[in-house]
Amino acid sequence: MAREPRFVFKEAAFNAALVKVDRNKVYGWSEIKYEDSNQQICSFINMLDDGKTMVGTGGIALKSIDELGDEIDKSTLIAKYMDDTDAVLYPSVFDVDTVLSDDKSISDYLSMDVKSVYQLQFSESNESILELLKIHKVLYFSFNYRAGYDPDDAFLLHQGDNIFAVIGRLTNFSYSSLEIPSVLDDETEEAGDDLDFNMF
Amino acid sequence: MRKIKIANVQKRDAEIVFGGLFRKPIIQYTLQDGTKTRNIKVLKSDLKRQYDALFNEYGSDESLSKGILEEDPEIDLNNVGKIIGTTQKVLINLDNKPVYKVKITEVIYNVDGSIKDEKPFTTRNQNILSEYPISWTGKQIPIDEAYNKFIFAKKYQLTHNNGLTFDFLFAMAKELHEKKVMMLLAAGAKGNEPLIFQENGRPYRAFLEGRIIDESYLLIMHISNLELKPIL
Repeated sequence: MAREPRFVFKEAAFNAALVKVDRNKVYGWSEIKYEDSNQQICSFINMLDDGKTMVGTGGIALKSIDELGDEIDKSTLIAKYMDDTDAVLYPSVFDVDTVLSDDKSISDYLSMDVKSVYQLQFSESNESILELLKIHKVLYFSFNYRAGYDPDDAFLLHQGDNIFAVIGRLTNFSYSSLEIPSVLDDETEEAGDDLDFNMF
Repeated sequence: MRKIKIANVQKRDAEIVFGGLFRKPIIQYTLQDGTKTRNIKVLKSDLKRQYDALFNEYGSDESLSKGILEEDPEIDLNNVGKIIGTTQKVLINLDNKPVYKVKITEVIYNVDGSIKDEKPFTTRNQNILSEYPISWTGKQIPIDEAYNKFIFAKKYQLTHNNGLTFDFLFAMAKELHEKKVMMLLAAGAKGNEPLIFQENGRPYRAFLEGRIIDESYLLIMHISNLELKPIL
């Protein structure tokens, strides 16, 4: 049986498994197929800058080195904040109670860049938490799937009788005034699939 | 910041700028003495020494296992551990030979993995800075209803680049703020196509939200390609 985080909101507490909502499971997916003149399937590999060494999946490793160029065992590294103080390790949601709070609003939720979505699966009735979400709309919590130093932001919300956890990073946009337009970052997106989006 | 051409409800358009905000890393990893490390990419094995090539050379897993024990064909002592700089993506065929002319097909799968359609691949051009501006479709969704209908994966802020576009965008934000709605945006000549932000990028539906405080505004374009639907 899947491990279940325990969520706590004031006096209420409940357990639910997290089932990842994948776009492929909702709409299907697409792939690009490449064939040569003999109708053989082709695939992409990495060509090194010597122009002759070809490397396939799994042929490249990522290593950490020190100032002298010697390899470092990653388990010996220490995590620090940028001001050089020791970083705090936050536990996984599966290891401790996850405390929900109602101090963030729909506006906060809408300011979050989303990384992943989970549907909550209950072994018992979800009525009590549904009632809470109908009142509060969104409940905020910090989320670490595994223990880590920089937890994600997350919200519980409901759609009909179903409850979802939406995970991401809150973004602090600033308002633009005539004198001070907001300064923003550029971004490029990887080319992706093309599917019908039958939302309307 | 990138540019986008957008029209308002009166179909007046302007070229303005947009972008996101990315949280900078808050954690750094150091050695015990406080010195910093850096990450590098190194070569483990090239294509000739990876499983598929070695299997073809030895003919079976049994003889490959024996070969690995006796001859170490998977290790290239001259190159293993070599630091890798920039690489280029190259298409190869099943014989590990680079190919220069290929037929490209897009295969579309159903949720159950069966093939729904197979068609020649066509290039998708970006449509946020084209002849036709991004337009308001007139489809307004109250924010209280939109927040749990779609997953708004990414947010881009629209902002002005001169005094005229300040007025243009402030008026948009004010209208949406007062109505407490998001406006569905669309691209193309008919104003009904999803937005494509770059060549061969994913198509997204975009929803515009406006907030104002006094004489300042916040216009956020929420983009989505997923409805919030149960999968269980």
